[in-house]
Amino acid sequence: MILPKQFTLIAIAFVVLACSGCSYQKVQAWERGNLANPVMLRDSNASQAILEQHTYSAKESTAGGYSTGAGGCGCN
Amino acid sequence: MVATKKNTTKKTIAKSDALKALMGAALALPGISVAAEQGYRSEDIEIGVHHAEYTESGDRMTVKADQLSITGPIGQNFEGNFSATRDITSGASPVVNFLDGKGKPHQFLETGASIKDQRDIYEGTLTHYGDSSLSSIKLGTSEEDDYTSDYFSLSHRIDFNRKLSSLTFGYGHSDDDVWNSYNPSVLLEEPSIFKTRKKDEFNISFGQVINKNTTLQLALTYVDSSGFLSDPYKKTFVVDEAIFDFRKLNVDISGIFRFLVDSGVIRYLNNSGITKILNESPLISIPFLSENVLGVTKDDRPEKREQWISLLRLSHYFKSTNSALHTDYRYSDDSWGAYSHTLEFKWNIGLGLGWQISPGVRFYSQHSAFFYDTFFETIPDHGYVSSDYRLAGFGAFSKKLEISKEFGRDFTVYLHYEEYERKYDYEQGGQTNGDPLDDFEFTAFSVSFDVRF
Amino acid sequence: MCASKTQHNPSHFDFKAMGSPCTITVYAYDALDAINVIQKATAEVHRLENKFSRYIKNNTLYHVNQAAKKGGYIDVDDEFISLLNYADTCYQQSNGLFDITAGALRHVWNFSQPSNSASNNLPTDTDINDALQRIGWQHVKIDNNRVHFLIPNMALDFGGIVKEYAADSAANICGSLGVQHGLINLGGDIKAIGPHPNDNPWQINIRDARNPGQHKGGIKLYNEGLATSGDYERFFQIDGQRYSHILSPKTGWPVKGLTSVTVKAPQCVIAGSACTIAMLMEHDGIDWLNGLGVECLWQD
Repeated sequence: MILPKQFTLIAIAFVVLACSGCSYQKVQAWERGNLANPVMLRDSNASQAILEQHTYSAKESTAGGYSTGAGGCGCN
Repeated sequence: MVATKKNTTKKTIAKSDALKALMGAALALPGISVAAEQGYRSEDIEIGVHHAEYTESGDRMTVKADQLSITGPIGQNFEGNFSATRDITSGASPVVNFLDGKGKPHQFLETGASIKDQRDIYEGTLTHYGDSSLSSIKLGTSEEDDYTSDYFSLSHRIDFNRKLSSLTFGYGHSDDDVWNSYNPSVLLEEPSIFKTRKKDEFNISFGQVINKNTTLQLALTYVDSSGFLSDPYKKTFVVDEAIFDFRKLNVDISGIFRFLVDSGVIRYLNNSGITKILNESPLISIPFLSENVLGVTKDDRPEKREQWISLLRLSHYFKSTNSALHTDYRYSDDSWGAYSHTLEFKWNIGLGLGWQISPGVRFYSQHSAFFYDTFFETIPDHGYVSSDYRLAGFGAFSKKLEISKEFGRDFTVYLHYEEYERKYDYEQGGQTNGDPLDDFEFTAFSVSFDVRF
Repeated sequence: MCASKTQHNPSHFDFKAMGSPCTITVYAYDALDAINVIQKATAEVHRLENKFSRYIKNNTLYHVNQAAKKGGYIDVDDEFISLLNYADTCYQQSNGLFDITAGALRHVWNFSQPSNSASNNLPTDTDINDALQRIGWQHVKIDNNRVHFLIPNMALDFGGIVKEYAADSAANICGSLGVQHGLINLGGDIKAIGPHPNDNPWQINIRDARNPGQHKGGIKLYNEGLATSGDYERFFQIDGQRYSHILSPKTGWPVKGLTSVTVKAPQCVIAGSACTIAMLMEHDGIDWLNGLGVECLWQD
């Protein structure tokens, strides 16, 4: 399997970011107020978000790619 | 100040370790962490009702969907969700593009696979909330009268770096059965087919808190599909295969077919069993005749497809407007050549008192699949052909608006509206195979109610 | 559509909870919303009072204290455990001065008498020593959701934590319901929701402990908590020496040194425990608060 070029670049960026995770400006537990604001949750209605993706996948050739789990928001 | 005491002092210095320790313990208190922690299991039972309507421009498809979903805590650390969805599709969709006397392709629309196509989806999800992890398993089944899909997915998220970073691993698998359902109005009724396809999806996602207002997410997905990936109802027109060159005959073949359908001739052929009898003899079977006389060939795609999708999501909070801008960029590469770019902005604005309004725009651009064309002069060397508009080169622009209002903690209403416009020449970075005849628009509207108790 | 600029009408609600007069003020778009918010916030205060008050029989704290009396164990919910963890942090940070097992001393010192007359019936050294035997957070062990009391006749008392926590929690509820400006005041334990509608911080005037009716200063609050320990209503005067109603788990005697301390912190519960710890530290209290890095007002 030969990975496409763009995918490889993003994969490299991914690894770099994952490794440098600890070098970010440390956000303390009590500084997470803004991140926990409901507006920071991209889709407040999960059913709606899933339906939207389903509609696109019925009309376009690319489907998915949005992580299956509720991963990665700063809110956790 | 009435009485100023000499021994009254004020002093502020940097946060000490002692204060950090107290803050840490205080933020673990549920009453304080409620707002500070999303992704915390809710102790409420939540019931959601969702209704959506989708309408395409012209005389094309409309979809009405209803969903009922229930979520509730199970034991100390689990949460269960069950949802049932029914959608009903009616109207018409493009089947084949015929050429007119001037050699210009015309879309031939046919009423859907059946007049009313019903789809029922049942899904159950079990989620485990760990101290620094979130795992879930989902099982689902989707049934139509010409399609079933059974699927499951697993995902596991680990939080690390004091919950400033997270990694999520996901795997999904689906097994689908495809066949064609009988519809007396369908133009070229075929002998029944029964085929299978399967899909495996691997996903890894990395989330990072960048600073107190910004988060980043990177996700990589690999999708591997195999089996019967063609559309059993779609046809493509191949000039070489037809007995006549319709461009020279100067006849509107699409008009003739329209007439055959509208006048009931097709219905008569199908219902009387004539089609069935014809199909029993290979040389006069409908698929043989349509291909070798009319040049109408079955949609035929490779039996394997690989997609590599990468997603970058940046979310930033703006204090001044109590809002957050979510930017998504998705790039998908595809062994079929149908690579795509998606750029989406969603701006969530908190207006206070439970109101939230979210305008958004989305732009999608797609390169055509290597075996796609509006019609073909001859069957390509690789042997694959498709004129499915979904594999064409095109771009699409969407405008969206979402409004939600929370009434207390136990009732929320959501409204969602979208206008989607697909255009051949919206494609970015050089036009690939496609044609304005496949341009269309749709509007989608949905309303949901969530009740918690 | 309502924008935050239009949230100009304050709604106040006065009620009594946790033995104190309480006020919830929210700036809401319309009265119905305000009623809804206030109702939910008040319900949260009452919920915590019902769960953690030591004056209510058969509540959660009562059952825990029954186990404490026997020297047994009991299973409690996550909220209870997280409060115990918070209390443990306070214990560690105060070198054992902030001790939620110090409740036994309350039975020895009777505060219900008028001030200045307490010297008439001071507890005996025997009474105090007896009470001190039953005190000590080190005798409490937590194992997942189970609390073990290693010696009998203990008692937990969440004074300095629960009322403050209730203010934070009620404020959070208001915030989650969309309130951007408001103030929760539970008997002087205050949590602000956002800034004042005019975008300036809330200006809180602190009463003068020695001169009732007068102010000794002000503190500005922006989404923060404020708590005061020590007040003019409850104190002892023994041989001319002022004693607060706060009892030291080390000596068994009321603390002396500071008359009152007001602390501002990101959460009210932190302000509450910080000012209690400062009182317990007596003359070292202010240095400790300065080391903690919080803004405070004090009188000795």
